[in-house]
Amino acid sequence: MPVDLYLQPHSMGELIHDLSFLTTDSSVVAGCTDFLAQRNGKTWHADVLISLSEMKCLKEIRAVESVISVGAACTHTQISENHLVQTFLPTLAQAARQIGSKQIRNRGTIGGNIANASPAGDTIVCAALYGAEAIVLQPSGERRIVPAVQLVDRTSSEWLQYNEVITEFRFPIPSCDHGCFIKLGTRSSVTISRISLAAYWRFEKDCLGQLSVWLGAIMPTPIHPENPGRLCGLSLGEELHGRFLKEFPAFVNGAMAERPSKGYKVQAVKGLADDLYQRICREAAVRR
Amino acid sequence: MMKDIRFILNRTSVRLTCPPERRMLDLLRNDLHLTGTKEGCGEGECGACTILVNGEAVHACLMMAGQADGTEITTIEGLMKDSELHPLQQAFIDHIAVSCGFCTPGMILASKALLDHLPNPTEQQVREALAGNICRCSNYEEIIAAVLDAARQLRKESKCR
Repeated sequence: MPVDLYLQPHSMGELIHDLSFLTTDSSVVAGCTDFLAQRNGKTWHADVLISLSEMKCLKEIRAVESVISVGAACTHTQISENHLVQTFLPTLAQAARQIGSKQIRNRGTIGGNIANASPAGDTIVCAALYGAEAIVLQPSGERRIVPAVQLVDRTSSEWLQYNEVITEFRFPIPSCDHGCFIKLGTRSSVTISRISLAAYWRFEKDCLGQLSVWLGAIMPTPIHPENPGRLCGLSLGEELHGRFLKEFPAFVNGAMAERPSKGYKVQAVKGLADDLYQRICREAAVRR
Repeated sequence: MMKDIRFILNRTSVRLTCPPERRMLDLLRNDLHLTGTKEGCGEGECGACTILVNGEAVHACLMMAGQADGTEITTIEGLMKDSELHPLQQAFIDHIAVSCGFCTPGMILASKALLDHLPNPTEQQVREALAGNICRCSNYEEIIAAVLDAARQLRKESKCR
């Protein structure tokens, strides 16, 4: 049988106790959408498997002062339909709504999406955009707090260890209330991102006041232009539009090492930049 | 390792012992002999294995039996009531939305999940709900028409009650 010991804790105390059994041959699962998809049809083994499906405390979304706390076992459906997320973290709500199919969204979790550390992970680029922190539970019962984006960086010392579990993500509420998530894949829906963009912005009178953009599925971890301010302060119009179409490809061209997909991604990001600009214009029109 | 699992399956209580990492798909088909749920890809791409868990459409190939404990599960076999076809099943027949039939159980259950939450969907909403279900016979237009028709029928029945 593939699993020697299956554990399904119901409380934080039980989870902390169960973490002590984990070895490098163990796994922790929640929705299993990545876990079983990678193993179906293959021979696999885990000495210990911990399922988080009964951990109700990891499935909560709440506002705590200036932070939205999202439990690591919250499903993408739950996140996309949550009023707090839709209001304060619209980019995350849009990203969660575009992950996989309805069936995948009903089971897949934000914790699994980030812990799986795929460069194409859609919630990862949103976590980067909002500067989210991950709360990581250790077998001792102590928790460490780490920028969520560092959990997907395999070169980082903050990389998730075999006996740790992400319990929660804390998203600081940004001062901007407009946001969008755009992805390009091989299909128009139910597609893995070949390139993705997460952004939020604020208008100042008729100009683009503040803009923050992160790009995913280009490098192993999300990247962002250091100075999207070159796009701020201008009124919406041809000049700003032109800058969008020039700045993003130039940034990706500089960020990527030479590899076969570089030409495609430099061109494709132009399309995403255009989509972003059009969304900003539409939101500006609604404001008026 | 074996685990005792209890859940409601098609309105009946079930209690059994099995390896908890066993796929729900294998539990349903091989252990419980409910072969209406099909295996198409084993990767969560085709939707042929769609079942309802607590009213939500999920892939049975990507769910472990141990995680079914305490849930309410519906398979295609559970849709009929008192020997009468569910309006969705009847609509699929009426609209000739079935060719080989392999995708049909998954399509119907994904549609049921939609209509249970959204009784009056637009065509676009139906398309989005069924985006994870593939039909290699390409009956998509008939399937969408059947779902919209079933939605009308269900709303009518709901008003009559």
